Amino acid sequence: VTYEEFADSRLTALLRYAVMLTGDPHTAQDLVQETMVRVQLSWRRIARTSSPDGYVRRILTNQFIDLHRGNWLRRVRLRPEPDQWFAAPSDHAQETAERDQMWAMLGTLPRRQRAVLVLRYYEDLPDGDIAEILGCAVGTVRSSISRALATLRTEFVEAR
Amino acid sequence: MTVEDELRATFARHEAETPPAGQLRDKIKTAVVRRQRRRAITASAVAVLALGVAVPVGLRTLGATPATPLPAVALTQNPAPIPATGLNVLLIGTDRAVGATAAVARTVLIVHVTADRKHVYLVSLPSTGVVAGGQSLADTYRGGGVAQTRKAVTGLTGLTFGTTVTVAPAAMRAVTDAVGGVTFCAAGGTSCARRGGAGVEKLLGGLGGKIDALDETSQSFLIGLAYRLADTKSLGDPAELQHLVTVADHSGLGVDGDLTVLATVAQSLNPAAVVGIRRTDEAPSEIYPADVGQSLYAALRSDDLATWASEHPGYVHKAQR
Repeated sequence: VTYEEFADSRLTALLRYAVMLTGDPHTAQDLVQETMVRVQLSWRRIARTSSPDGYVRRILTNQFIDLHRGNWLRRVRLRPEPDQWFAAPSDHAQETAERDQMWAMLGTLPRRQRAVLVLRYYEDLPDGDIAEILGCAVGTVRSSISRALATLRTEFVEAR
Repeated sequence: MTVEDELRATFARHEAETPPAGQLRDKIKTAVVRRQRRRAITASAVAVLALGVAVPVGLRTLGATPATPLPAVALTQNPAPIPATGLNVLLIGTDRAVGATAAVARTVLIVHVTADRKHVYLVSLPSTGVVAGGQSLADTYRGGGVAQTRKAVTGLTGLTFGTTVTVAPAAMRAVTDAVGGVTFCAAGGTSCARRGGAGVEKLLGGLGGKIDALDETSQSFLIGLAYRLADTKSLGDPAELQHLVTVADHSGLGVDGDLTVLATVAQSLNPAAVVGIRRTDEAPSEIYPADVGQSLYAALRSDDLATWASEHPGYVHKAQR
């Protein structure tokens, strides 16, 4: 697989994944950009791995977890671009607000816990694959999921 | 609806916010080109670390083929015109670990090459010293990176820096190992020995917060590195040089600015003419005492450090083998 073929087939999926991780399309775009720059520069090495896709997702996820320390985040924060991808406000503002409670609550979780939830409930990955991406033990993945769900349950009930 | 079901539904709803991939492809392409150019410039950064000797030394110890072919090194091609003024490069030694992005500056040093190209001065600025804004240099780097550190040093000295080089411990280790080790002395002139990269890192790491010892040892190391490179006179295989650059780049050597001019100048310099300038008291809260600092910065700006050094012998440390 060449880098171009990989990017053609996987870029949109990586962007979707990054949106779920960051909760923001601009940050997601910068996260994927930084990841793909690294990927292109090291493509020959990455292409030799057993799962280039898994390897790239690992880079992206770890960058997200270290996001507050990355140089690229400063660029995100300084950028004044308008939000061009969000849908226009609907007539069902109240309903939307309620539905987005979960989205807002995800944003309050520690990054590692949010990443675990996205990998499980968006990417539908088993514990073993999640542990590999995060570079931790399977038990750690399970306890992270459990803790994150407990937090969301508590907040979700309180919010209703 | 369970929380798990609500999560799945929430993720599905927000898929529509995914930005288009087309624009991103172009941005990635541009960023890759920029990053590759930066790697090429990194070759010149090795020259700064060498402090004035020919860079393409024999790097036989590395051996392996470069993992990623890099553009040809500008150093040996089309040397840039050399301005007839003193040159200043800001060199920042950080404690950044491999893979980490956060770090503090442990060593901040101005490399000053005189207009006649006969002398190099290493002016240490204690990282505990406070600069405008009330922060130490170490914290300025931690909060604001290279840009804020350079701005702080410019505010302090009135000097402008066309080039800033950032060196993480792993980069110093890689460069040291690439030249087969460096002979230098620990603080106080004790324990002079030839050390490999791991030994250098251990020694400097063990100095912790002792800024005076750290500055002294760092200066001694850089001078030792200059001698080592001068002793290794062979002009190495460009592929091996490229490999060194790749090793250093991957392990934490950063360059901000253009080093071509300085790298060209570097080839004619003599390591015996390297002079260290530093404080000898421990962890001062001001960079230099006010009157000393003002005269030192003025001498840097006017390229007359020889006169200043003769008037302030207590701050001057000549290169020794």
